Amino acid sequence: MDRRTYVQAASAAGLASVAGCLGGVLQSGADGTVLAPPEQDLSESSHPTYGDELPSFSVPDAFADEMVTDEQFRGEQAMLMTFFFTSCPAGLCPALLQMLNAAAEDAQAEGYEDDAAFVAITFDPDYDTPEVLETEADNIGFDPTADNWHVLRPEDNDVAYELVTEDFGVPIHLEDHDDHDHGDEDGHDDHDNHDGHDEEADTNDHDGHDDGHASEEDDEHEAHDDADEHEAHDDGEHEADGDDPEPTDGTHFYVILLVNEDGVVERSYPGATDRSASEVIEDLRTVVEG
Amino acid sequence: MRRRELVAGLLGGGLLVGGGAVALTDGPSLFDDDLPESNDPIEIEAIEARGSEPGPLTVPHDEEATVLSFFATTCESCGEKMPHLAEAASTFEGDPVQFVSVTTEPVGDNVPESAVVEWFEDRGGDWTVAHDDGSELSVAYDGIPYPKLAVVDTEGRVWWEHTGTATTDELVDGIEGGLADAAELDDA
Repeated sequence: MDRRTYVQAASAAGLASVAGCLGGVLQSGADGTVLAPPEQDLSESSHPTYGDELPSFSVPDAFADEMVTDEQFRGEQAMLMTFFFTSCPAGLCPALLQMLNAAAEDAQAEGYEDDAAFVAITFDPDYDTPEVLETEADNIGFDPTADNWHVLRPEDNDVAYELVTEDFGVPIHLEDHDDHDHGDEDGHDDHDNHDGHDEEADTNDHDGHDDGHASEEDDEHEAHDDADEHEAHDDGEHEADGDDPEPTDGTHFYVILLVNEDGVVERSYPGATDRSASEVIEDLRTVVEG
Repeated sequence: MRRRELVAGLLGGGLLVGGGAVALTDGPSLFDDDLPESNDPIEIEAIEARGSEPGPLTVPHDEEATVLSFFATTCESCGEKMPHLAEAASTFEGDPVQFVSVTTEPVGDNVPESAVVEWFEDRGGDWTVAHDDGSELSVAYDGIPYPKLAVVDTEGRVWWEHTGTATTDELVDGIEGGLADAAELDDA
């Protein structure tokens, strides 16, 4: 969803409240949720959305000798969860992790750090060794051994693929999925956010741009399409920029899930990197407050 | 809490609809309540290029305003915007404002630094260009989606922001307006 749509939707909600319908706007939503339904219905998405139960999982923590499961958070902590791989070429995966980090810092500053967990699952564990993940965490600026941080590293790329795509319904594609070349970062795993957006046709206005460049490098289109949206100009054509050494065919759907302590999804944020971190943080605070 | 968010959404939303640019304040009378939020200093790494001295760089600058321009070399509309940005930047020469172009791409990793330099210089860049390793700056200033421009004062407050391509005049007007609002606060 592009920001303008979101803000327009927010405006509509605000107008309703001014008209005296605060109760209607503020009443809690589906069973088991704290937040009211999102402005846009995402329920047709492949990934879990508002009111859905979080899929169960059991994945090794890359920085602790233990399995992390969905159940350990029940009754204990709300959770922000995302999926990433460190060789994400457009630098957008760091932005996803940075959004979780911003929320973790807010939790620390506001004193709710024990009530919120931050879970990031790599879907490229063959490349994302604990050492690589530690470097990434350093870059982002968080301590992956902190009590409320869980960087999860499935046993191998096949397990990761199944977990993320099938259990969580989050589209990914790693070009070298079956035959990973650990030594060659360039040849490795471009992603294409568009395919992800396609899964979310009702959440954005990108559809018109999707034809014809699905295999091109992605960040361009991600940004470009949103820019088009804001500018209402349509150039229709996207060409791969020759500057990128290895445009490859890959997919990763940038999504963050906000889950309450009962394991119910309160929000999914498709195209999360286009959002403002403060939007996610406000929602998290509300959920933690119950 | 919830009610305040909704009302804030109304105020912010009304200004946004109809364009990519956001006027973040209606003027000094709103300063008390609607002062843009300040941001803590964040360090990024400047790259050696025309007009760009390599080394660590902190945003915000503690003495002058900063015009942040978020981009990626793979972003076509970022490339389209650059010549306009270059022309706009030249009109602020001598003013107490620094221009900083910022990429979150994995510079030196998947994307060679030379590709960033070439992209920047080929499109008229002649100011600081930097790498936001870890995307902290980009998340703090909503740098994604790019191309994104933000006029930031010495406290890290954003006084004008704009997403997408723009003409030179639109950029100059927006930046001037943002700088003027920031200056009004300083005078207040």
